[in-house]
Amino acid sequence: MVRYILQRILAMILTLLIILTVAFMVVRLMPGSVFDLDPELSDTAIKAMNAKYHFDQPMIKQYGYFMADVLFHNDWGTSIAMRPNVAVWDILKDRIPVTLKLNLISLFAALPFGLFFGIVAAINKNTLVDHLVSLMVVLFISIPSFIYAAGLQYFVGYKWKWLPLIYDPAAHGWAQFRSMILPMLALSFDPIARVARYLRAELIENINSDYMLLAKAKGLTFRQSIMRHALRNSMVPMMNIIIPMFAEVLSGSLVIESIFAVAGMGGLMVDSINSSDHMLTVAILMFYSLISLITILIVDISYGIVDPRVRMGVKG
Amino acid sequence: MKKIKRILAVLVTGALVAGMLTGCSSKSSGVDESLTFSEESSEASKAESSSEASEVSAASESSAAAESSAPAAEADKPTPEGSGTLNEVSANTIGSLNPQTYINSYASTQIRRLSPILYDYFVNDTGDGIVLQGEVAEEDPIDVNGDGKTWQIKLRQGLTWENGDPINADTVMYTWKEVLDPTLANSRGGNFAKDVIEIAGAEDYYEGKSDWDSVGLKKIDDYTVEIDTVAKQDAQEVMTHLSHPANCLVNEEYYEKGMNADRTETLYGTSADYWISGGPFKIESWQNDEEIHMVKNPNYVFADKIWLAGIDIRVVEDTSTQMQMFENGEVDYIAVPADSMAQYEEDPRLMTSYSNCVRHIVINSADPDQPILGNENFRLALFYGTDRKTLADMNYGIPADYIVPSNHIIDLATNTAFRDTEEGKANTDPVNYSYDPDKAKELFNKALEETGVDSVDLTMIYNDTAAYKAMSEFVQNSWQQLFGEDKFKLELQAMPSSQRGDQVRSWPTNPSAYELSWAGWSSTSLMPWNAFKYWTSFYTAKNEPYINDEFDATFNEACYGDNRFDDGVRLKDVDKMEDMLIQHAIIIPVNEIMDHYLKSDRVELTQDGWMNEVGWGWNFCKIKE
Repeated sequence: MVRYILQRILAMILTLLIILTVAFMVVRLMPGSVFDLDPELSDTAIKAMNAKYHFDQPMIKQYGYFMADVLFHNDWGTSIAMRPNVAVWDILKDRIPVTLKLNLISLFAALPFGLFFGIVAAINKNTLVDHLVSLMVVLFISIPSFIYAAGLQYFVGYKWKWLPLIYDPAAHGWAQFRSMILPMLALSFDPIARVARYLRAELIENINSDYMLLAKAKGLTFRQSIMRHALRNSMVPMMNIIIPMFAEVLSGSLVIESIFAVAGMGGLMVDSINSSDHMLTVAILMFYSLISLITILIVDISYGIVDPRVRMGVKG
Repeated sequence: MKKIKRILAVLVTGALVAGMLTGCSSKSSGVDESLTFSEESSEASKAESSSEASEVSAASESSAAAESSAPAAEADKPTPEGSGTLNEVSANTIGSLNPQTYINSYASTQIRRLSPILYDYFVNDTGDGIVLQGEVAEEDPIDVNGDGKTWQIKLRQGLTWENGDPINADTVMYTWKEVLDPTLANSRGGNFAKDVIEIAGAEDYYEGKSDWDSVGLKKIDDYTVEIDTVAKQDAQEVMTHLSHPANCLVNEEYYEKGMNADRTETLYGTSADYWISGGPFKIESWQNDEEIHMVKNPNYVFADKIWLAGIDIRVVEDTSTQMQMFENGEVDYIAVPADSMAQYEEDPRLMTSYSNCVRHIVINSADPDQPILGNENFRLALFYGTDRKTLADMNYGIPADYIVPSNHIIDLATNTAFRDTEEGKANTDPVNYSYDPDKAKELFNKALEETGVDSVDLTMIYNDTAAYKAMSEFVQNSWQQLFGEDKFKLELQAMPSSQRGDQVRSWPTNPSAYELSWAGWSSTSLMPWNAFKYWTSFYTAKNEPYINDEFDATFNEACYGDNRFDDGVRLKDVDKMEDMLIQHAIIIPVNEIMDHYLKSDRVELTQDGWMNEVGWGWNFCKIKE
């Protein structure tokens, strides 16, 4: 098992190096220069800065400087446009906590609701309750989250003044949590719907299984058979959608963060690309890649634990 | 145990259902009604505008805290701590408060609020005009030798940073040395070395070709510094150069605190840990990319002009959220985007100002694939075939068949705008704004004959925004209709702003980079001659392949010529440069872009409306209770 994990980690490191190379090349070959943003900058200044950041060197040399800094000095460079002179990972460190906080709370809040609606819909299959839950699921999934966000902000925040219009980073405790309720609600509708829909389908399949018949024959009540057998079996495939949800929370939501003025990860990538802040863009890409690869690694390892054939490489 | 579990399960389920029903209620309302969101917003803004003033004081908690301890704003003079907090909102982030590396004009506004500077523009005592005067400098620069090349600046004594450290000649010299430091290669160093004035030896030092001793910047004593310039200047030019926000002074202790080991970068101004104030305001708290809270600096040299106790700024990217915050009384003023103007056209809180920019259509006249763009009659046909009035109305701007904006002052002494001079008036058609369809068709047919083609197929690239899409489509339809769809066809292609700009500016390496596009340059409103640098051959980020020696010579005469101070020389030069660009249809001016704002009733401006360089004067406003 240890060998299997080491192999996976080695593969992950190689993948990261390839992504790093591709990211650097793609980003550097994008049209536009960070110095184009200000027409006031003099030619002398542009020349001096191009020399400082090696932008006047051939691409392969730039790549060499970059890789040497990253591999030997753990230096990923500094931002040039968005926060000049600040190390790119320090910018990410400022942005990640708020995104993490907002998205994790909304996800943890959404999961019980999703599970609840999935169970209710499954055990009331083809009844009015099931239809209502299904309608809700369709609405939550098919209507973009920014519609909910704008609607919630307008009615709850602006019209009725029940909650703050935007997120308040300076507030503490309950005051800050109040300002997070609207964005959290807007963020939670989609996971609620996805979990409910998936669980409903899995649970219905399990309820109609032969082992459920056996459970009833053994004298278990309907509720006991659901809770002890059907629900447990339905939760295993649920991991397929729940684990990626936790990976996604780090990416943030561009629109929700924009509407509720949350300085999170959502808009950082777009802003860095638009401002040609190349080193920052590469760092963000690497961050997302790392998160995705770690998620895959966790899934792979868990499969290896559950099914020895995976780690043994047995076919068939 | 089982009973407890059941009770708990029931309670949890009940809580979940109750919570979800609440969520559903909010959601279901939001889904349907959000479809009519913009209409509702409009109605709400009108309906609630009358009661806004009373809501403001209740909603603005942070303001109330600052205001409660301060005396009423109606007092004759501002108190040392000021009164009332101005609540602002911005779609931009500050990025950095380092004046030597800042990235956008929004950052420069905040830098100016927080940093000391040698000279700046202020509203005059009567509130009806502006004056360029010393802030850290005690008086206008002194022409030591009478040749206009050696300027001494006397500094005020007793000025300090917020921690009490003195602001003196050492501060100024340290600032100048660091901005020009070749290792730091600060982005603003090039403009400090050479812009309105050229400092002797500064550019060479910035480029690493010489040492610091050869730079024409000297400390004479603790409160006097001296500048040597390459060309003859007047005091106004020296002050104008030094009044640029990039030339705000920096604090040596904090600048060095943020410096890295190889002295190539400093974190100065990137967070509260690396910042110290010395301007009209100082930072009380600052969360990067989120909010900044400033309070009045009682030690500021002109503290007696600052009525405010502080300024709170929130970064809010979404314009509809900004609008709701304004209507809720959480923000005291906002910029109104053109696409929201229809809602606020009649609103008494609406204020309009110039933006120092004439939007125009750029033409790649050297495109080898479209030789007709090099035909002057064809370009003139587009010039006379452009319905500027309709285009301006679409964006709440002013139709413009000229290049120098209306607010650009040619003579600061008399506050005369170039457009109000005889020369300025001669270049415009105030009735039809040079829209002459008959003349356009005649020129178009003549151009076809001269180039020997039967029809023209062109492509216009534009920024992928609603405003540019609407304008481009109007131009497409109106030109095709005017010249005949069988003879003229215009394709439209949208792209992101940065990509479009890059494509347009790539014509030197790719002569067919574009055919037609949109542009608009901003420039200093008090130096209209300087705005023509964008069409000189030595400007590297040019939009058009326009190279003209006579134009370059005229520009140089206006900016650097020995006779530029003579009566009427600059007026003549500006007139000539504008005329050269228009008469040959190098670009097609369309409209002056106007900025629109909504201002809360609780804010009282202390000047007579918008003014060049100082804008609306928010720093000097009063908060009414």
